[in-house]
Amino acid sequence: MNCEQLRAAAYGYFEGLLSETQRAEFEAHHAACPPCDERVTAAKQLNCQQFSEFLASYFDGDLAVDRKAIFERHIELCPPCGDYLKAYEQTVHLGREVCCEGEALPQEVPDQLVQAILEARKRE
Amino acid sequence: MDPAPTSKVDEVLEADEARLLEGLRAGDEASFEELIRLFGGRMLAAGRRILGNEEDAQDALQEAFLSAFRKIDSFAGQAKLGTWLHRVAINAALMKLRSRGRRREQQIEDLLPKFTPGGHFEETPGRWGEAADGPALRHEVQEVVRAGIERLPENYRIALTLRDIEELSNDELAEQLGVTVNAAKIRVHRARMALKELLDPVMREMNP
Repeated sequence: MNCEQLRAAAYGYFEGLLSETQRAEFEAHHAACPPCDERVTAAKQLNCQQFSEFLASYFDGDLAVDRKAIFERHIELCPPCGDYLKAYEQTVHLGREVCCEGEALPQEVPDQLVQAILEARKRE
Repeated sequence: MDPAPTSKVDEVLEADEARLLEGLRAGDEASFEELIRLFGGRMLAAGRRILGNEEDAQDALQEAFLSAFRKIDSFAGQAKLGTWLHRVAINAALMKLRSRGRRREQQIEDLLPKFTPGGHFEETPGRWGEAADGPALRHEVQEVVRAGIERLPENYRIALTLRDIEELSNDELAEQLGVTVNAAKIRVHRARMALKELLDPVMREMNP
């Protein structure tokens, strides 16, 4: 198993989906390759539920540097969380676009309302 | 993403703002009307998004302007006039919302992702298509997003609207909701996750 294959197999490894042979190959590479060891160790510090809890802070840019590194390691080795993050970002953008640019009603104050506000001011 | 279209509010220059403020402080009737016509549209739109109906949104706009007129002497100019008025409008809309009476707090748990005891997703998140994320939003997507926001429990809908659409900071949001900053952040996060779940079936279909 090389580094690329380890990255691709990581989600299956964490989920317990690998065969015994694949698992052994994964662990052998992991033990022999310091960069992959660092990657897997960092990814193990966060599970998908914790990932989801940190998502808003990551999105807002509020995560501390060390937490951010662990978060990004998790995304690297967990495609479903990568997909979840992209969909989360799209959700925010879609809400913003639809509500700000696709308004069905014009952004003008009706004349009648302008006059009503001016009248109410005089009565105050 | 295309830039948002320039609104009248964006075109108000500092010199115009200073002139307008001077007129307002002098009690000039034409300045009050100009203020309403310049900034009222955006404020009304914010009220519609928070209150969900035209009548209440118009009532809230009237309250907002009356409140702004009363406070215009104390407007210190640290914020832009448009930004200040936008906050006053949000405040008036939330007051109106509260005056309708407190709705039963709805639960959001059914719309949040579920996890196994080991912390993995119970249902693996699917990939969304790129087609939905762009300026040319298909009509269908617009409708789904609007309907999704409407379906959120009210306290979550308001939090999402104020943070992501009206663009309040987390601190401002916490102040408006009367909760801690952390609680406000969690509420917005849960609202976003719930909205994502509601959009999921349509967005997955767009995957090329």
